[in-house]
Order: sequence, then C-alpha cells, then structure tokens
Amino acid sequence: MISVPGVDRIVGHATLDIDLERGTLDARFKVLNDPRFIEAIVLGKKYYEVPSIVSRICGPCSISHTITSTMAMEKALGVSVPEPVRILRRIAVLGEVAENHLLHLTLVCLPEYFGYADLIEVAKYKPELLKSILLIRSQLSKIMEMFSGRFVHPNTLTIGGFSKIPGKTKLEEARNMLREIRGRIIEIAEIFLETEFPEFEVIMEACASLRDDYLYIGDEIITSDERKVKADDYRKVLIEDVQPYTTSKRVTLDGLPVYVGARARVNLKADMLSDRAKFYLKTRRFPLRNPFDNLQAQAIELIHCMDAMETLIEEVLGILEAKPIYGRSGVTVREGTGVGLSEAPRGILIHHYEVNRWGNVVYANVITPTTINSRHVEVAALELIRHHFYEDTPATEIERYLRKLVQAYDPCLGCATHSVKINIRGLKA
Amino acid sequence: MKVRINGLEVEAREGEKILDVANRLGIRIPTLCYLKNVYEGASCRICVVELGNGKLIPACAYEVSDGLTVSTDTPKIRESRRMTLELLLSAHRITCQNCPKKGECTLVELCSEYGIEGIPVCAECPLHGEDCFIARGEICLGPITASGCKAECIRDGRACEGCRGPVTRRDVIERARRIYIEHDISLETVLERLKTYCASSHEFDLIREYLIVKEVVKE
Repeated sequence: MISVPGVDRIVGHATLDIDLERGTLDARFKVLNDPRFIEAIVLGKKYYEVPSIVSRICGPCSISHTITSTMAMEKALGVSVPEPVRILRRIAVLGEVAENHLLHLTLVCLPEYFGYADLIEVAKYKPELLKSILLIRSQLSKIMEMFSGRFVHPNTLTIGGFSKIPGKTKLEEARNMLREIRGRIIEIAEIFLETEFPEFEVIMEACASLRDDYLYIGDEIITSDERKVKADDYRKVLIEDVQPYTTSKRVTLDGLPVYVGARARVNLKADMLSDRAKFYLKTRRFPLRNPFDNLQAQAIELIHCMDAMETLIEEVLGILEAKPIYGRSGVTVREGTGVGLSEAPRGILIHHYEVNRWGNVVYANVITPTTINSRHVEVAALELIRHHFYEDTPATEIERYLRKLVQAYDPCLGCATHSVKINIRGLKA
Repeated sequence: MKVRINGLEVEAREGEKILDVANRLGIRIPTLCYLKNVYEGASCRICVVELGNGKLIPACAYEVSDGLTVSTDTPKIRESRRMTLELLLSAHRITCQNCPKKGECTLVELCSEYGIEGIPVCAECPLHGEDCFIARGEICLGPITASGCKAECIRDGRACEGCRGPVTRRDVIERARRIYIEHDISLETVLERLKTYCASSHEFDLIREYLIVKEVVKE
C-alpha cells in the first residue's frame, strides 16, 4: 500500500491511499478535515446573513462563495441587479481567480517543480523572481480590496448589488496597476508553459463548465460529452454520494469521474479566451488531456484574467462617463428557491437555497469544485501508476509523482494549510 | 542632566516635563486634557507614569530632575489608567451620535486599548446627520453595539449588524431607543436582529427590558 502521508502544499488536509496488491488496484482520496456543517449552520438564518457565513467556507475563494450565494439568494427573492453590478462582480471574480492561480502556481508549485525545498531557497537562488511574485500578489490584493471592500471575506458585496462602488480615480488606479504588473505576470506564466510533465491520460473522463461567459456566472452546465443542463436541474447529472472513508462528499457525473477547473474551462471554452491567452495556448498541444496540464491551463487563465479585467474596467469607466452607477437594487422578502452557479478559481461552484416567506433559510446545498474533482484524482492516480511505474520503482519515486498529481488538481479542502498523506500497499519499501 | 525612561538614557534640559522628553524619544504617553501652552492642568490623570520609587505621577506636569528613572508602561500604570477611564466614562454622557468628534475620538481609542466596554459603534462611525443609516430608514445596530471595530462595515457602505455584541449600559440603550423611535424604526425588528449576537439570554432579557419595557428617563 502506498500512502502519501500528508500531501503538502495544498489547501487542507488529505491522504491518498493506493492499494497495489495483486488483483486489486484501488485508490482512495481521503479528506481528513473535520466536517464543518456550513449547510446546517445557515438553516434558519435570515437570507441576508447567509453570504457572510458561507464566505467562511474558504479564505482564498471567499469572493466566489459570497457572489454565488448572493446570486442564489437574488434568484430566490426575485431580485434583478443592474448591468454595471454584473460587470463589477465579474472584475472581482477575475481578480480572485488570478490571485488564486498565482498563489497555487508560484508559492505552492514553483519550489517543488524546480527542485527547491521551499520558498526560502527560491529567495536564495532567484530573489528577483520571488520579489516580482510578491509584488504581483500585493497589487492584485489591492485591486480586490477596491472591488470587494476587503481582501479576504468581502464586505461590499451584498444581496441586490454593491454597498460601495469604486469611483473613477480608483478604477483608473486599478487599471494602471494592472498595466504595471502585466509584463511580470506573462514572465511567470511562461515559466510554467515551458515545463514538461510525465505523459499520461485518463481515458474515461468528462469535464464540466458553464456556458455564456468564460468565468463568473452561467445558467447552464456544459460537459465534454455535450450534455447541457439548466442550473435548476443540476442534481440530475451531478450525483452526490457519501463515502465512509472521507469527510467530504463525492460528486460524479452520472457515475463518471468528472473534472472541473482551469483545464476544463480551457478545453471547453478556448474560443472565449483573450487574444494573448489564445496565442500562448497555441504553444501547447490542445486539448489538454494530461491532468498535470492543469498548471498550464492556470498559467493561460492568469494571462486571460489580466486582459479581461482591463477590458472590463475600461467598460465600467465608459459607463461612468455617461451616467452615475447605482449599485444596489431593493430587496423584498418572499418565498422562493434559487440556484447560484458560478466559476470559482477551482471550477464550478453551486449554491442552492430555499427561503420561506419570512426570509429564513429552510434548505441549503453547496457543491464545491474539489468535491467534484476528488473522484477524478483517484482515477488519475491509478492511471499514472499503470502507465509510468513498474514493480521495482522505489516507493519514494511513486510518492513524489502522486504528490505532484494531487497538487496539480489544486484541491481546496476547507481553510487550513495542512498536508496530504499517500499510502501504497503491496510495495517493497 | 540625564534622565532614564523605560531603560533608555536621555539628555534633558532644566524645567522640561517628562511628557516632552518621552515624546522626543518616540515613547507614547496617552493624554486627554493636556494641550501644550493652553491647558496644562493635569486633571485627567491618563498620562500617569511610574517613578523609580513606585509613585504614580502625571507626566504632563512633573518636571525632570537629574537621575530620574521613569517607566511608562507597567501593570500598575495600566490598572490606574483603566480605573481613570472607567471613572471618566461613568460621568461622561455618551451622546456619540451627535458628537462633533465622531469617528476620531481619543477617549474611544483609549477605551478599546484598555479593554473598557460600553461605548457604541456610533463613536467610531464617520457618518453625520443625514448620511446616517438610521436617518435614511435602514436598520443599523450601531447605537447599541459595542465599539472597537473602527466601524469597518459602515465605512464599506453596510449598516451595522451588531457582530461585536450589544452594549449593556442602560443610558446607551435608552438613547438608542430614542433614536430608533425618532426615525420610525420598530424596536421589535431591532431586537430580532440583536438575537444573533447576544451572548446569553440574560443579556438579551436585560436589553429588552431597557429597550422596550422601561419608560424613557428624562435627560
């Protein structure tokens, strides 16, 4: 049995157990974080309290959780938001995706993939690179602060719109900041686009993403086997089951392992990328079949986010020239059900709420991207072992690659920085 | 002459006050009543410091002498300052909603530094008059919630939800009651919202008593 004891450098705490004994080849991706019962906590709470509670599911993707739950609530209460609000929300999500991808690519993966022990060693040998990474991060966090009030757990995103909207000077400042860091971001993305990984494919696989828009919101889920599912019917295709070995739910596409996230988005919606991102995508073999390619997809999305944010900020500035923006519509309490669908940094995020006529939540369901990916991680780990390793491969070597594989999926298992364990049974140490 | 403040030796002139020497060194001594050359009456007693012999004296009035040893932050000083603040607050009419110092009040800053509760969020809130959420008809729990958050939500354009828990001081709650009634906000809705962050049912009952049942005390 191979066990990766605490896969490090992922958000959360998990173990990958693999059984290599003759006849059975079985992988189990165990999430060891304690269950947090967020869906139960929001029951009985007022509708306006929900976004700030569910935001606590995840620190790095708090904006996605807030916006998705806000949209679900708006659907349930029948609130329609003005168009500028949609654009501003989109900018906030793009900023978050860029920040998350940068965090994962550089601070998490960079040391491992280039043979350094940790970031301190990177600082020793490539101080300029680390400086530019930290500069980009601080600039991105400042931009996110402008659009969401706070860097973590946004404050200005409310049901009905924004409680405070960045003015013209702030928007111009954000645009200039983006222009300043653009060159550095492309430099970092190029590092990852040039790297080569072990070649392998998962044969039975499907990916899912949202129609309409590259990132942010959608009403329809599309998959690689050309299914189209309306938001309200998500439960017909995404089947949630509970396994005894893990504290997280496991989601499959009618029993088929399915992946979401940067790679799925690039594969399904390459035509929606910005021109510069398309140019860099041409340097890779398309579609991206290898799970390790998720890193390349993230690098491409990083470039796309920069361009898209700049375009959208220009758009908002154009609207501001013509007339002032009113960022908030009124909310009246009523009975209803709403499903919010959006693209979080790591894939599709679904929030589903039912509100009674006093505005109290009576049903809540949240499907996060990592629960969807977790089955795919197991399948991919087995494929990797079948394709690349023999009986005499040392356990440490297998462990190293499995660790990288899990990290490539960028799993986010609830907010903590712990590590993943990999167990492989039936192998001479 | 030489003076020693918090272990740092420093040159001082004849007739200088401890406060001036400390300021020159970059050591912060909080003051409330002191205003240089205008009022140096040493009446608030917030600026107390401890001498080598354990005596507490006001730094704004005490002149330095050669070989003087002073500490500016000891448990004894903190205890004394806490006591002073509590005494000041007991006689202080908390009318933060109409106070011109709104948003930048030294007294509130000191209270949150020394862990004294009883001041509402309105003291830290930058909104005046018609900008106030309550004046605009929105339910804001600012007048009844404990301060210390620098009114972060209000600065981001959101009404206070009371996450720091309610103040249980009677005069504060009664003033809040008057404000809510003045702007036609139902006290039942306010109580409903307060439930989320009340620490105990005892506290909640107390607030309900002050907010709804009891008569308003005349000012």
